[in-house]
Amino acid sequence: MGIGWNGKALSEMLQENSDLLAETGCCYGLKTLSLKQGDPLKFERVFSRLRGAIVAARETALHISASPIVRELGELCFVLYSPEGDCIALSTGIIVHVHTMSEAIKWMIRQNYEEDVGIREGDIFINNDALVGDAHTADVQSLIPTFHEGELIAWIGGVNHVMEIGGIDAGGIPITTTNRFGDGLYFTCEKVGENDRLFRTYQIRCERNLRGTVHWNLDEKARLAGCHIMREALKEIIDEFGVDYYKQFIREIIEEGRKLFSGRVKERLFPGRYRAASFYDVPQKGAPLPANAAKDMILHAPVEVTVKPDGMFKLGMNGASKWTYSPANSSLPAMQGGLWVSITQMLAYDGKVNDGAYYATEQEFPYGSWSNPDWPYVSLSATWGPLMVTFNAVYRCMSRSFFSRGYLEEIISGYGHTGLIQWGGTDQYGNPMGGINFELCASGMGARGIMDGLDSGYAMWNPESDMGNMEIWELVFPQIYLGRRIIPGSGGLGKYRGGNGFHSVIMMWGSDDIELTSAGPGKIFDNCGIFGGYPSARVGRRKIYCQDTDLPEIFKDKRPYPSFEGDPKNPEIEKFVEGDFHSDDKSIMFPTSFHNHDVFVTFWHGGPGYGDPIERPIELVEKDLNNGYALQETMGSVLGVVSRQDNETSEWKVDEEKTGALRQQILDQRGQRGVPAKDWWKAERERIMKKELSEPVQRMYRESMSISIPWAEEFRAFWELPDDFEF
Amino acid sequence: MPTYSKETITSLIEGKLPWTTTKQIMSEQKDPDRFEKILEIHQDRVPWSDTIVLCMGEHLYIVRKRVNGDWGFMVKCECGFEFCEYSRNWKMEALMYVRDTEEKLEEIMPAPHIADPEWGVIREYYCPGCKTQLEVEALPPGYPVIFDFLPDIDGFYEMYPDLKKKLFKEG
Amino acid sequence: MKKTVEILGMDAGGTMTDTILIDIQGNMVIGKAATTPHDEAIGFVESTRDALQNWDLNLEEGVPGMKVAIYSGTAMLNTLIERKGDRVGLLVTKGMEDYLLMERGCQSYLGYHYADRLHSVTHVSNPPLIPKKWIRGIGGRIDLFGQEVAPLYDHEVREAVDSLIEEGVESICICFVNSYVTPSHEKEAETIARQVMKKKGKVLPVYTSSDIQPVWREASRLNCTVIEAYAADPSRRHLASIENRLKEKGFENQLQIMTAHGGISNIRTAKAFRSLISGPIGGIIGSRHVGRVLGLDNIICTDMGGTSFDVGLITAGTFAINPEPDIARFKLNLPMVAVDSIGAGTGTIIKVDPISKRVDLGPESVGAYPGPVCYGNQAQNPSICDCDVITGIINPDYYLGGAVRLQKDKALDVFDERVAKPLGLEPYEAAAGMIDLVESQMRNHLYAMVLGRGFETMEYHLFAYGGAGPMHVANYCRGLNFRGICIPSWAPAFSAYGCTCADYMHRYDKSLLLVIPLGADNETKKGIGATLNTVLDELKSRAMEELSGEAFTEEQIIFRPVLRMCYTGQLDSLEVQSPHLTIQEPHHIDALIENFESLYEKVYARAAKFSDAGYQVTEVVLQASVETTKPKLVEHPLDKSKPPKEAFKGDRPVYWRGEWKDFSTWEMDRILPGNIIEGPAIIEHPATTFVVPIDYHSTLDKYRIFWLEQ
Repeated sequence: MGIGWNGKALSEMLQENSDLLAETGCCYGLKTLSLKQGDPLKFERVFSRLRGAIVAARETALHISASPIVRELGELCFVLYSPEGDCIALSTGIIVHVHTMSEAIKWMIRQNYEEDVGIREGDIFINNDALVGDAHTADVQSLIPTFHEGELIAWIGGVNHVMEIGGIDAGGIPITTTNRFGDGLYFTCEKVGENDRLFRTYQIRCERNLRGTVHWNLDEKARLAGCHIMREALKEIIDEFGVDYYKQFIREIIEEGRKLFSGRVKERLFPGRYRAASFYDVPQKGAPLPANAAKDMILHAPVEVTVKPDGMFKLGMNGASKWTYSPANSSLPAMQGGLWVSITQMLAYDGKVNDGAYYATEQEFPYGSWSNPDWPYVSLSATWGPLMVTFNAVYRCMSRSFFSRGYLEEIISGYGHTGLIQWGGTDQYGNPMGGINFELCASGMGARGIMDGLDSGYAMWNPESDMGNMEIWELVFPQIYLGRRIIPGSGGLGKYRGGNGFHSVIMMWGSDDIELTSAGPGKIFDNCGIFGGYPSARVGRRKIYCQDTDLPEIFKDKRPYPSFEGDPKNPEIEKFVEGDFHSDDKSIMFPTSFHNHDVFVTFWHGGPGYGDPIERPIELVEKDLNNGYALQETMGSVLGVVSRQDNETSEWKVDEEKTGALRQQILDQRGQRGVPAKDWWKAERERIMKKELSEPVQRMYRESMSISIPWAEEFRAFWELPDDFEF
Repeated sequence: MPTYSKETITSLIEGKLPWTTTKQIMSEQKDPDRFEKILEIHQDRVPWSDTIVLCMGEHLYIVRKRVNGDWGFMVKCECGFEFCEYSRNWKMEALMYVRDTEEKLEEIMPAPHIADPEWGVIREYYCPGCKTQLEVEALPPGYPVIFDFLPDIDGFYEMYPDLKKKLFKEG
Repeated sequence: MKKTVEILGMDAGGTMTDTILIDIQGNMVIGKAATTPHDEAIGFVESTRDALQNWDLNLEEGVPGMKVAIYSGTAMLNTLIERKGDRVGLLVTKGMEDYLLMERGCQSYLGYHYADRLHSVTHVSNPPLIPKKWIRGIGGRIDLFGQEVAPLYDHEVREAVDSLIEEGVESICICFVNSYVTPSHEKEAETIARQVMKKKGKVLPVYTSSDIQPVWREASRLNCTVIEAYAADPSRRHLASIENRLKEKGFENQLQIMTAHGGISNIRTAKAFRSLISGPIGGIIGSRHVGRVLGLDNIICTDMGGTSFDVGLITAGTFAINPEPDIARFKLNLPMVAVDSIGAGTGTIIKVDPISKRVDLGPESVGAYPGPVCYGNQAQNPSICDCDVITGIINPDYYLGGAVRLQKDKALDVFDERVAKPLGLEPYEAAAGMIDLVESQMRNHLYAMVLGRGFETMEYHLFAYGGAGPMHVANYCRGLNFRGICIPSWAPAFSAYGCTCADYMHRYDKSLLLVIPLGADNETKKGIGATLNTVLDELKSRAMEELSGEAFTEEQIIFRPVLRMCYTGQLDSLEVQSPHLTIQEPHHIDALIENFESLYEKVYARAAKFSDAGYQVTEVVLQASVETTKPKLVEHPLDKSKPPKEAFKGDRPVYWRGEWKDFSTWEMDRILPGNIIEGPAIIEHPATTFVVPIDYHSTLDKYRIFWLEQ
């Protein structure tokens, strides 16, 4: 006698539904939506009750957490699932996890938890295993089953990004790890409580294995409180409308979600095949790591989006390169989560989205590639690294489609990668510390189809992006902000520019035992402009810091101190400060020790551009100049702008006439320097034949060609290479 | 469902609409006649008379015309330069400029915040006619030219027979 | 003999300006006029004139006797939204020069509804109040414990102030990081600024964030300080012009203004930003006042207007405070009486999604013009108001007492075309369904408000007011089992009335980091008490200074200390009443902890308790108030239960639960205390419509408050 409906086992229900979908093309084989057609307004009432409840649950739970990631930045999300793990309604927050948790629930069902582990009212499961259903170890999920008269009626899930996960280095996202065993504590759909109470043994395990548990405990309480609040509300709703109505309702709402998504695709996208490619660099050559990891590597993220006239949306990644012995790998659930968070922002944002949308899409993530690794011990700590670059390409594909349909106001050319900086050691209160400064949740948005991208205010993985208050971050980490400012020119140039990123100059303060790590793309372009716009500057590549500084004397004498990067070629922390200055362009910083008065500059990327830069409207140029957002260097050469500052008002003015002339000049230069693509092709082909490509690039091609025959064939065909050509 | 005048749509796509109105349009349900109006707006703009059946990107169109005898779809620039049939990658007919050294990369972004040209380069594609920068690629050296968009034009127009009748007059 | 008006309350809303006049006995009359945003004084005078007419008084007769006149409106908000403020020079901690341009990322979607929060392409930064060229970074840093990391770079202050004055700024605004802990750098900078001005023979106002609002989170503190500098004077000028209109008519006292934290204060008071928003909270203050008279101390206040449904909670006689609300897309650490709103008003627009064929209610609303379809201004968006007309709930010939004739047919056509047909429903059925839907959303909202805060609906009475509250109250309360449902007969101007019920009150907040370790011994507790008292004394002396400046004596002032507490490490705190005025004895601390624990458990469920972490006081708050003349509630003699004939206006068919039913209709002002109106009935008033459904009845009590019962 199963805990599913009518005595079925959950595995039976799951199987039945996937069979029905396969047979009929409709979720649960629902050809008609009888409840909705019978009384559309009652249907709406029930939905608004469920949605209202889950949103309210989040609002309440937000206040419990101690972690600024949750309280300041709202990195918390609650979701209501069907017994088989299909999402029915969701709150805002890190909605990327709406689908990852769904996969976790389905995994438990397939593993027959029903019999082997037991699923009862009051049980608490937690999961952070990305191979099973998550993005990375730092995203911790609480899942509780909810019953009605002995039948499992729903799952409720809550997830948030934790500060610390007990990995090889401090923080939620260890970067020194080369396999699963350095990723930190793994909880693979683990039962950690019964009767709404956590097992003491579980709590002890956390206390003994994490760098400080205040944040961990309060985050967990926040997740549980939210789940329990939702459970109470759900019971009331079921009592009011009847369990039979509810059961039928959740079936219909998901099938409707599927139809709705296909409808949106038909309405907004143009059928056809879209292609783009992104790349993520892992420059680990010479790093103190095992040989298989101490290499320069590039992750290849080729994207093919297919839109069919019937509204089917397919994402394929044929040609993706192999997984790596580094934290920069992703997993199937994580990639599906990435797709989810993208489409909920670009197509299905009306708040009625559910797992139906997922059933209306197809995905192809090649097995053995970094997007779907075939090694069970692969590290999945920094999943977001390659994942984020992939969806930059997806944004571009969808933006082309919006353009073709005439909906330019929906275009986003991409976004700046968020990278990371993490803290370890001892905090200013003398406690062990592990945490990530989540001000990174505010990069530059890519240029839009009708305006510039949003400056320092976007992270693709959470549309409710924010950087939080410096005063709050100074409460959490032993640091003093010497400045937090926009990075001029960090947004990709174009007719509309990408939103600029920002950077913070932080001085270590209140602790002599600080260990920082930092990672993100840098040596390679992880995004690209669209319709002639440029990718964003690689500010994340550079790690600049100064140790053993003379800042105490500087302060005493009231001499200038670094408050922003200044001239990138001669940064303020080098110019103003005496000390041990480091400038490293490797884009990864392995654990590095800092002491009081050391300074470090964190860079957060800008977004890519849109359109031909010499078409940039004059008034936008002037605005940038007056806000100090523009680089003099690129004004003339790239934007073709001639401007001068008024001595009276100190306002910048663009000389339209001279600008017009200069822009014509630039066109002429292009004519002179441009070569016919076919000629370029011949020359480039020679290089390939001679294998005159850098080692990481050749490695990337080799892996892509070995994993995907079709991609290898296309590569050879394009360059007209012999069938046996290999790198 | 909303519908907007050609004037409104024109200033919208030119980025000249006041923000409040723009925001309203963004938050509203979509105007179903947008595609048709966009085609008309662009058709009035271009200095040539071939029928635009699809706007591919800034300044770039797919037009329906006779290609050696029978009807076909060509990729064409606003300036009048014709690239090739839509089923082939127009970029292979473009002028190209590759930024594959630090100097060339530092011209377009703040040095030294650039990629390592050994790892990633920038390819610029200009229209041989008007020299407009139509596309940019950022890739490792040796990467095949990307075929950005292969539209299913027939599949699309199947869904809009009236529009098809209106645009595909002859043939 | 003519009446003497004692109190005048005024609420300038988005569309209408309400006035309420109260005489010495406590009799009330209501006046209404269109709001005139460009110069609110005009609408203010008009609506006062309109009110006085009910007592056959003109302005010259009515105004001179007035003891109190209280304003609640949008003067400052408009200055802000229209960016018509003063030229401000801003000094910030070096490295914060881009802060106003960057904003908190969250300000790019503040005020957006669910869909657009996800729909990221719609997110935009707000135009900054101060241009970059008038923002200067100043060297110097204080750390989180108040320790000086780098001294203030005084020479930079001098240069900055000097050049800013040269560039013609009208005030200087100073906000440094962590000044909430130690204001020393801001104070020093202020002194220097004044010296520079002296030298240049200029006198400009100087605003420091540690004086304006010494509460943590620099982005919000900066907003408060800049807004004060930017908009305070323009709005004071504006308020003065309103006061002058009254003085012209013989008013002899000073105009007072409603503040966000629920008190009134003088329009000349420092910290005008505290009155930035006050409209929605008037009703909550009014409910508390009426509640006191009726002996109710748990009240849910519901206000349904044209654009939103606002809900406030009064628990044990006090209202909840929202410490960091967002107003006009600014995040502010301006403590505000907690009001939770959803976009559900009579103007809420109804749409049907072409693809899903599902209904979207709002959140946008039709606004004053063109208004609902039934106004006949060629509006194409059907709204709830149209449904109320279609189903016969609203009398199209008695809207605003007949001032506006509503066009039912037009409403019906457009609604049928745009909503009913796409849904495949009959227009009347669909219209009733929409009302049902909006009411159920309001019910959800109420439910979440009460349950979300850990309370039970049974513990509360519900007050319904605002133009549309009485119309929908029966259904949005259905099944929630409140102890009682009250509809004051002056509901349409209840917010204006509320302003007249507030105490004269200032609120002083100060953030601090004070840990109460688990199992702290008495010595430690004594120490903590000492610290708290120092802060309280500091706040008290500031209060004394300000209030004596407003001509109050210490004896008149009532002090109420409140602490914001949390578990150690938490970033969010709860407002805990201190049972003791001075906190020194260990058991005083224990009492605080006890109050905190029980409140926390109520709000966040037991599972979330975390006593092992110890406790933290994050903020000390002092409320300093002075009793003021408040309206009395007149006790009328009770008449028999049968209402007088002249109150009856005949029967009217209303589409109700799937069929047309005859509702008896009544004139609200002709119903006498003691009368009982049996449902189905509609009680009409020029400014509102009160629906008594089938198997409900409503009794008018001696205070002219309707009680809705089943």
